Amino acid sequence: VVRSLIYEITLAGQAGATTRAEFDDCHVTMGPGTTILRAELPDQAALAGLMERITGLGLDVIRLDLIAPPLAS
Amino acid sequence: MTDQTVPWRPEAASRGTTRLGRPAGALGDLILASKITVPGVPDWVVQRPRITRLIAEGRRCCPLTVVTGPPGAGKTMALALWAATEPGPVAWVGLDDYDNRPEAFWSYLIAALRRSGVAISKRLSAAARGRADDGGFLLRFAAALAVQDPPVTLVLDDLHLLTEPQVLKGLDFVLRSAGAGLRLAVSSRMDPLLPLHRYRVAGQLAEIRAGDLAFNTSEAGLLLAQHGCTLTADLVEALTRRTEGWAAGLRLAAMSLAGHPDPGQFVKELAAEDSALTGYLVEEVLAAQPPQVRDVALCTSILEYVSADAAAEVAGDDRAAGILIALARANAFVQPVGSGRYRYHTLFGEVLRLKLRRERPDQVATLHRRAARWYERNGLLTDAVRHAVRAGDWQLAAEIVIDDLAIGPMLEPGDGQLLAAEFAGMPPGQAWAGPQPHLILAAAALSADHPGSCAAALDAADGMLERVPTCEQAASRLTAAVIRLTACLRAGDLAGAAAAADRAEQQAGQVPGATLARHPDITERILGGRGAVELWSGHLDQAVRVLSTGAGHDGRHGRAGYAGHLALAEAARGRLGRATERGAAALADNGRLPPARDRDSAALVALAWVHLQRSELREARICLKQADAVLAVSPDRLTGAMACLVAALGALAEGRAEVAAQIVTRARSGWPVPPWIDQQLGLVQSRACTAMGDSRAGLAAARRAAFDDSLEASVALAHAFAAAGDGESARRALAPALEAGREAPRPVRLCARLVDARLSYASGDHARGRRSLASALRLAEPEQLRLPFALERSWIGPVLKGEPELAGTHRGLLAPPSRHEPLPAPASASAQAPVLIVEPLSDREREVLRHVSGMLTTAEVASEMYISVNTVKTHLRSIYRKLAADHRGEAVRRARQLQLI
Repeated sequence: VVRSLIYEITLAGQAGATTRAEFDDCHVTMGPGTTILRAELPDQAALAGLMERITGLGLDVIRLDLIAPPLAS
Repeated sequence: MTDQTVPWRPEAASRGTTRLGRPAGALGDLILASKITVPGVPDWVVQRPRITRLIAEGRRCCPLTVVTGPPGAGKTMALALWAATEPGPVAWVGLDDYDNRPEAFWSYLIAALRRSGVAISKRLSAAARGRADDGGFLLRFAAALAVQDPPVTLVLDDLHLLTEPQVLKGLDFVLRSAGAGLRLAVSSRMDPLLPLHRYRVAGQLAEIRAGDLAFNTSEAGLLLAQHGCTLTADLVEALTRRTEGWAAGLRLAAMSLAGHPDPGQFVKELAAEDSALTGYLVEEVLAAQPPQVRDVALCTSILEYVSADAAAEVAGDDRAAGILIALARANAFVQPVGSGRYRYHTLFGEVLRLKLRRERPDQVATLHRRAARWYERNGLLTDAVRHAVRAGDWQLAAEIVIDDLAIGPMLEPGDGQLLAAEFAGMPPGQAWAGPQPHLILAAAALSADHPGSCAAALDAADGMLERVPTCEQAASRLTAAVIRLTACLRAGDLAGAAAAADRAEQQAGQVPGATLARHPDITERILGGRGAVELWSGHLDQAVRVLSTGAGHDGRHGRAGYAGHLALAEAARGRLGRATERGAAALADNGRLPPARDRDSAALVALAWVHLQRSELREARICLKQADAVLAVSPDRLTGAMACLVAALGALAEGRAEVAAQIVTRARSGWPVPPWIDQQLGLVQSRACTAMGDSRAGLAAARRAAFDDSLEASVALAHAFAAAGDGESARRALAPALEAGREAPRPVRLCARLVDARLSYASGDHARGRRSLASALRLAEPEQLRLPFALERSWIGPVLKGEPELAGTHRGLLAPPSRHEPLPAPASASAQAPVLIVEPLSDREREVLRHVSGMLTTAEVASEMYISVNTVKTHLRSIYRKLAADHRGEAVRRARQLQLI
């Protein structure tokens, strides 16, 4: 049974339209001088892939949060 | 598993000496069979039908199947087990870091597809090695796959290692374009950098994730049984829960359990432990081993691949080989990879290295140093350097390269990247113990086109070399001379180059012959450098002699570039046919045009010269334009000056004397022009002044050029006198050339006859005029030298009306030149700037270019800049024009070189 986890990744700077479009699989919100990506990810491989996409675009990650903790089994 | 590490070369792959000195492991066109073979399934592996079914189902329904999970999750085995059951063709590529280079990646794909039975034309596979970045290749590749029925499944194992956007974009493009003919199945530690969500939304993606790969209790029971442990159902379940079904964890646990007195207790402890699983299990596995086995494992964990020999050396223990074999036999996370080599399982190796660093921090550098020595002795230079660098021993790393005379590839931009990359972290400005690190820095500066730092590093190396006896450090001395030679030639410092060539020739005799023989590129460089010095000194016969020796060296030529110089020398002494052959040979590389960076600017200028001498102005213009593009990328003062000379002569032939004079002025400004080139430019300047009606200035220029009393200059002086109406002085200047007869080079004799004809006709001696003109025409026939007549059309035209016989016989030579567009005026060589002077980019264009360099598509650039797609395209067209680029990659590259972005 796959338990999806919700992560929030905070990036430095406000993303432009192009960058936002790059993450159309995430929920993107803007903070003060930051961009927050909220993504529901099935596992560590998905998280690693997302982080790689972010760094590949030269974006700086300033915070990574696990929002929904795993359900107790 | 059979030994599949035997390399083979795909057809027509050999690119000869361009690969000389390429470090082992850099591959070149080498295809390693082990990379394109479905991995064998070890006997401890458990069949897992449910996973095989998931993959088979994915392959049936979706173009893309991804298997993701952490290391040791069993991804590769899952794909290998499925591949064994797949009736259709399966092409397998096990990826590594090197595959981020497009040519390597596409070559492996093609080799794997061929192996699986897919017919792929030789042309296409040749294109993969050359111009894999060009869209045409991808399209043809996709088209070849689209027609596969049944579809071929391409398996890319370890796709997380691919990070190069260009390669991934190409892969995505091929997958989307090949349609029903191609299925892609990949394994990756992280979600691959393909636009997964687009495939997912379209229902074209099958995902097998860590959760699916996790072993269930019954599978775990089977795995444990394979390792000879039988546990109660409760304990199996506890173990599966604790390891979360992680295959590597279960295996480690099974191995620990095999020798454990109380398996039940072990599982209970494990389940209760709060420690990180891997480290705990590796400790357990190691704890079960005798001390000397632990020792060998820790010491050899720093090696990528462990052979018996290397293990003995690095561990300093002769029994290491036996221990290694025993470990592999016991499945203790040591895997044989063929040819008597082993590899630690990734996770196991990582934990071993972690332990080594923590338990024996003092020993790490020593081990790396030993490994470096071993690799060096076995000729694996890049690996040797890597370990020396990990030992923090830059001096050793530099010695490995320099003392082996392996500097060649590092001198060229691009070619020696792998080796050069190992030195990327080298701290500058250190007090090194030897000259070698300075020489590495000099080579890096030269290939990065920083002549100032290169010279400084060379001076530092030379300073150290002066303090040791001359019989020592021969390899460093030779390397220093070779770097200096290359740098001086590039900067146009002929005197410096000549001195460096002397030193290099002398030092080449001091190094061991066997070392030199292993690196023929060094000999080539010296020979090529010497030939270039002779060429630019105007000793054309001597240059041809030296350079021909080099070309005969192995029938080919490296990037040392003397084929082009040879072509230029032949062209300059009027042997146009030979120049064409040499020039074409220098440019053709397996019948395809290499990228601009690799093209030989001297060969292009030689061809331009040939066309010009034959009055084929349009063709000359095309060659010059290409030469200019190459020179913009790899600047070369001397060849640039020669290009200016050809352009000036061309302008003269078009009747644009003023432009010719301007080009000459520009070619001369800002650097100490070597005498021969200065003289050649002076001769053109003299003619240009005369053509503009300023015969005094023409005469003055010819006088200045005639400083060395060479026959060629004397004839030019005679020409200037004749144009100024001073027949007597003209005849006096002409006499030596006419008397020299056959000893004078043919073009000089031709011009002398032509001046004599002009003087004779002017003085009314028509008989002598006719004789001389006829003889000039005869001299011009074999090589079809039309330019001298075209330049003298003002008086030859009227004269020919009275000489119908001559005009008829030599109609071909006397036809008016083909003229379409005016020749470009290449800008010349101002200090460090490339030859091409680009029209400045507008702010808007610069912005577009910046976005393009950030990998944005045209549409994305448009939305980012709030302009229409068409406007972006217009900007792009204008950018291409200004930068003489054919596509965006080239434009970005050039703009970076010119520091426009």
